[in-house]
Amino acid sequence: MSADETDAKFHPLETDLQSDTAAATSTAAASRSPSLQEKPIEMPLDMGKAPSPRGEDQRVTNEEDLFLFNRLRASQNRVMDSLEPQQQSQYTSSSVSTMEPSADFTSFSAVTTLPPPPHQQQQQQQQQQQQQQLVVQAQYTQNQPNLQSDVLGTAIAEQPFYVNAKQYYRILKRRYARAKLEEKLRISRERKPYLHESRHKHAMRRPRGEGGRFLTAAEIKAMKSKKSGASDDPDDSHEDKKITTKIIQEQPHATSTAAAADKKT
Amino acid sequence: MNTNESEHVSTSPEDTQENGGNASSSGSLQQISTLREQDRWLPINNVARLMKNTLPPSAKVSKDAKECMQECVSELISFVTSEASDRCAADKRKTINGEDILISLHALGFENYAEVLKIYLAKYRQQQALKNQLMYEQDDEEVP
Repeated sequence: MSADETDAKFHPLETDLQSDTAAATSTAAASRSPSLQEKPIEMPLDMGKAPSPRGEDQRVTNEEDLFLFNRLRASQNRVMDSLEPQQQSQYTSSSVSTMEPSADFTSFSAVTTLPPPPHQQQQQQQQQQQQQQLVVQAQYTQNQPNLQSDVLGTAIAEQPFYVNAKQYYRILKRRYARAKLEEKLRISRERKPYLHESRHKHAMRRPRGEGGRFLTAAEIKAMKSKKSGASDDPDDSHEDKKITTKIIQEQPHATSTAAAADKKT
Repeated sequence: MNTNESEHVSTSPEDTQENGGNASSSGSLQQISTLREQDRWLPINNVARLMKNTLPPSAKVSKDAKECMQECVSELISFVTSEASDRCAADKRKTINGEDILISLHALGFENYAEVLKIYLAKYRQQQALKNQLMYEQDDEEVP
């Protein structure tokens, strides 16, 4: 019975979409049992991923976790600013119901907050209603089995992130689908430095100038003329020095070759 | 444009099922991984061009920003399309229509986007109808 009530609250009825929402509620009820069973499997993955973005330097990492981490900060500031002092107390009290997978929700909450301008009072009222729904949603999460609460014990320190109630179930399904894809096709979130092997090899063969920039045809001709001029000189020591400097210059370019290839694609 | 993108994303679940069958062979894994990367995200050059169209010509966009936007856009498309495909499955239909996308946008709380795309869809259909009429008239002219 309480589950049905939560269904009604999570999916508010609309005159135009009554039949669609009814179908959505039926599908949501059908999808609940598998989602509950699958959640304990998903938890350790998120637990392992959480500390990595904080430990790494922001400049070095290009992974998706870093983007999520930055979004978390932005969403935290927005949520804290938007809350009223009374609701802030609710916010702190509801911290017990935190969940690690809620980190993925912040990106969507940021998107949903953009369209409504906060200046109008009516929309402020709508936001308050939505926040009340979200608080109810937080209470709903508390009703989950004890196993998850034990797993969540380590995650209590982090604050919760609220999402649009309409998107809650879809977010869970998408997270499960992405995890399934990673398991099935062995796809990692890391990006390849280049997409095409042949293009990469071609780029590696091309001569480069200062800063790793490719040389133009005119510059290549100038280099050849210099080489022909240098061969006429009898001094061998100068040639050796030039060769060593070229080798030294070529080594740091290896790191920039990947970036250049990516720029090409 | 948006409709085509959504259709492109909607076909990916079938591809995943087919590729799942081929996952047993080690030789094709490399091909699968390369294909999957191109199928997971929209082309990054197109995303960058769209970003630059909204900025002055002197502006520059970093690679991290392009990649971040690429992932956000691809995930949003998958998010909306997942909702639409579930609704089609409930109605025992196989093709996702423009209306299905609009209904799923409403259901997920993107009412503002749904309104704009509704107008776009109507204009797009008018344009298609005009093209069909022109083709029909050309066929009539060719007959005599």
